Amino acid sequence: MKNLLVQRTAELVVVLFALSILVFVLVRSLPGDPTVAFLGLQANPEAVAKMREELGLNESLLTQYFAWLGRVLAGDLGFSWVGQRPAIELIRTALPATVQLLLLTIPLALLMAVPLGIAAALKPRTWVDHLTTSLVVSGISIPSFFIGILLIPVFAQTLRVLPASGYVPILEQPWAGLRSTIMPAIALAVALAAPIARFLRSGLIDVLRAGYVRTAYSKGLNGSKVVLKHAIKNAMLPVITVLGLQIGAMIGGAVITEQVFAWPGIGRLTVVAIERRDYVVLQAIVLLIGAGYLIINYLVDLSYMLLDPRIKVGGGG
Amino acid sequence: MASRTIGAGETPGVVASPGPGIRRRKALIGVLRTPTGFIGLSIPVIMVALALLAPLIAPYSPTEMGQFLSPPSSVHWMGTDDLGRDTFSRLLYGARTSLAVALGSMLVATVIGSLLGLMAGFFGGLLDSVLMRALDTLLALPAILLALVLVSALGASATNAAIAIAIIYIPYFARIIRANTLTLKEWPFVEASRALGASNQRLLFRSILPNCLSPLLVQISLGVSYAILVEAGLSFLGLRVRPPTPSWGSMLLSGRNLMALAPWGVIFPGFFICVTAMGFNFLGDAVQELSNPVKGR
Repeated sequence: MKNLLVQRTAELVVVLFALSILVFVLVRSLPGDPTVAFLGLQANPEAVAKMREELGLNESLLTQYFAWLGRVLAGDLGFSWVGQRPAIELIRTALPATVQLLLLTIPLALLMAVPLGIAAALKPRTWVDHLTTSLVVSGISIPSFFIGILLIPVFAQTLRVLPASGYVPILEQPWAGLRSTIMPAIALAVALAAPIARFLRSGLIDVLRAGYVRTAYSKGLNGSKVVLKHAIKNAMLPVITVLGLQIGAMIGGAVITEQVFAWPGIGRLTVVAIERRDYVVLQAIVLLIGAGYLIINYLVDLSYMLLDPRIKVGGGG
Repeated sequence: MASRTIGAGETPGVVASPGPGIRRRKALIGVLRTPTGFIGLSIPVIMVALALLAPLIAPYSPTEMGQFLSPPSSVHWMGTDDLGRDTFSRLLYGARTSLAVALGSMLVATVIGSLLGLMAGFFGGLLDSVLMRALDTLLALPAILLALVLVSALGASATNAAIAIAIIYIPYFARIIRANTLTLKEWPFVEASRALGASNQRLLFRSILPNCLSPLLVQISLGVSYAILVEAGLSFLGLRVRPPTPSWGSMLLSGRNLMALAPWGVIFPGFFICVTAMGFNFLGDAVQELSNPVKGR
């Protein structure tokens, strides 16, 4: 257990380091001079030279990388010339919108996925199971932005029950905030619900065949009690892993869905940063998302080690 | 020659195995017999046929302009867009770009990913650690985000979108093949081949790789489906094919602003994207179910 923990932590550090190199190289290979994007093509050469100097663009790539890494480790993600503010501040402004969106997406996805997954697992190879499979496949085949585009005319224009776009902070105006989040959250939740339902189904099918479930049945417990009290707990473990792994996909989905709903979150910030060649912000976003994903999955693995007694006893994965 | 009868492409544990041709035909029939398999094979075949035959089937040229925003009718089955171009014809030509990007990227990702996975799993040690950690790094970035940055770096074009999607998918193939290689290399039939003097190359490509075929096929079809969605997403963000070349995602983007006036400009491209992605997903499921009938999916 301890060895496993050390090994997993060392792995995390190595991959985080590799990630920083990848992000740096990726963003530096973007075409176009950031000074041109900011100062324009007609800029006076002195101003360009001064800005290049300030941005450190005249140094060697290796020097630039280590200087950047040093600043990042000290918590400085750089100053956005385009946004005229530190990158971290721009991200901090955009983050609550994305967090609000994702936090509503997860319960919505569970609400869709858990009943489906349980129903399919209880009656494998029946119409319920086939229906679930079809819904799951549809769920992963419909791009979230397309769902968004279809939802807007129905709920905002015809029924007029939800706002078509825009973000209202849920902490300031709970009701309006919730209403503004529902449509983008549904659009994202469909894609998240599909893999959850799939994993829950196959996990539950396995668990329902296990000895302790048979024991529970033979004790005379009724079906719903066995499933809800005994089986689902163990079947939820892989679901936690799926949730962890899907966070990346969710953020990816948010990048496009936020465009559809004019949602001022990290996704829109990313697209705007690419359009305006705002390297500093782009680098910061990609690095933070990648690192966040790695750390969340590290924590998921740790919680797995703590939750699953077999891993503790065996001492190996 | 003994190693050939033991090693080549045989399912471990099967004593008397018919020739590969017969088995392949049987597998195909097996896939077609299930409803998901039937749908899963039909949709991709139809879509590829539509794309290949676009110049013959399409009633108009994809850039020909006529009456703008005319609703679906006998003249324009799926209506026209804001420039009066026929939606159906553009969808058929758009299928060429979308499918070429999706299939091309998966081909590249399969070849490179499989090679890396085979090497990592078979040789193990430092090579394995370095390769897998490098690939883990790629997996840490959300696919769309990575694709966005890669396409911006390489320049917006269909080829570059395919390259970006291939890079995203290499780690998935490498992981699957590595995991299978780790198990397969301990199987008696591989050990026997080795004992009979088979070279590493022969073990990798004649004994191990053929037995990774079904997980590989599953991953390829799921990957194509996802690639279609990523390509559509990139085009939707305006980061791919330049007008006037049609692509499903860019049709969605331009149709979106006119959704209230001309919903057909959004619904049909979206429908093509979803149905095609669904077809490849079903195909992956059917292959999976065949190779693991109990759990499937």
